[in-house]
Amino acid sequence: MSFDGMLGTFNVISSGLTAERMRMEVIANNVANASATRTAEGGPYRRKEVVFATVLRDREELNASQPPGSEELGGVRVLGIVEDLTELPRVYNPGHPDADAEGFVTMPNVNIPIEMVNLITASRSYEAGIRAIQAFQEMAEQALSLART
Amino acid sequence: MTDTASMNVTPSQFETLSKLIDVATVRHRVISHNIANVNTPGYQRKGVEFEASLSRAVLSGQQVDAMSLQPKLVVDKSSAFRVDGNNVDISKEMGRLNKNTLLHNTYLQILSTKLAMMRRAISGS
Repeated sequence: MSFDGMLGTFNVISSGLTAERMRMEVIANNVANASATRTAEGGPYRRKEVVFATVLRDREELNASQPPGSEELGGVRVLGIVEDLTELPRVYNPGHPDADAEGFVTMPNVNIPIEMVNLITASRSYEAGIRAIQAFQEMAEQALSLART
Repeated sequence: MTDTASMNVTPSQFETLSKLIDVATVRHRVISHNIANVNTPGYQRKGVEFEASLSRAVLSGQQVDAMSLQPKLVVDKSSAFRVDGNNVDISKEMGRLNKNTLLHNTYLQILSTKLAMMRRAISGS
């Protein structure tokens, strides 16, 4: 096994950790803005969502001597952050400074329970990634101990 | 698979063992890839096939050249898909990860025992 291949595994796992952390940040932003009726773009806040994409590197662009099934897997990356375009709920609140003539306020389409569920899945996935790194480190250390004896 | 069959200094098990360790590392990477993509919509989990072809080669009764056998990357379509088209089960992946780590360390342990035996034979003490 090449040394490069070994470091590649770390890259795969850390790409997952980065993506999940990004997701948690976006969720935190959604929760923080759950009642923000004014934004820089105007109108109430729209909930954001991250888009994940698998990274599969082309075999051709890699060294042909690499073992198959190892170099083409590159983990995951965040393609971008998109706005959730679902309808914004209208809440009757005549005292609100952003209320319209009928007393309705257009609120952000953030749903706290959904955000919390997403937060849990993101943090569980993050933990799984950490566990994978620990296991890999253990494996690498064991392999290195062969050279020590 | 007798060690005396070839003029190699290293016994043939060394090659098989190092290949198995190699495959365990590849598999760890594939499992890590699956874990990293647990929330990617439409992702299908991948697996590594090697042990089955190795055992077929051993059972065929011919001299096995473990180094020439290559692990195969397979896409698993049989696992249940979630609504977002992803079929990674995080608990199963963690189980596979632990199993793979254990196997990897077992192969290493066997290899290191064999190395120690060889060292003892050379030094004669």
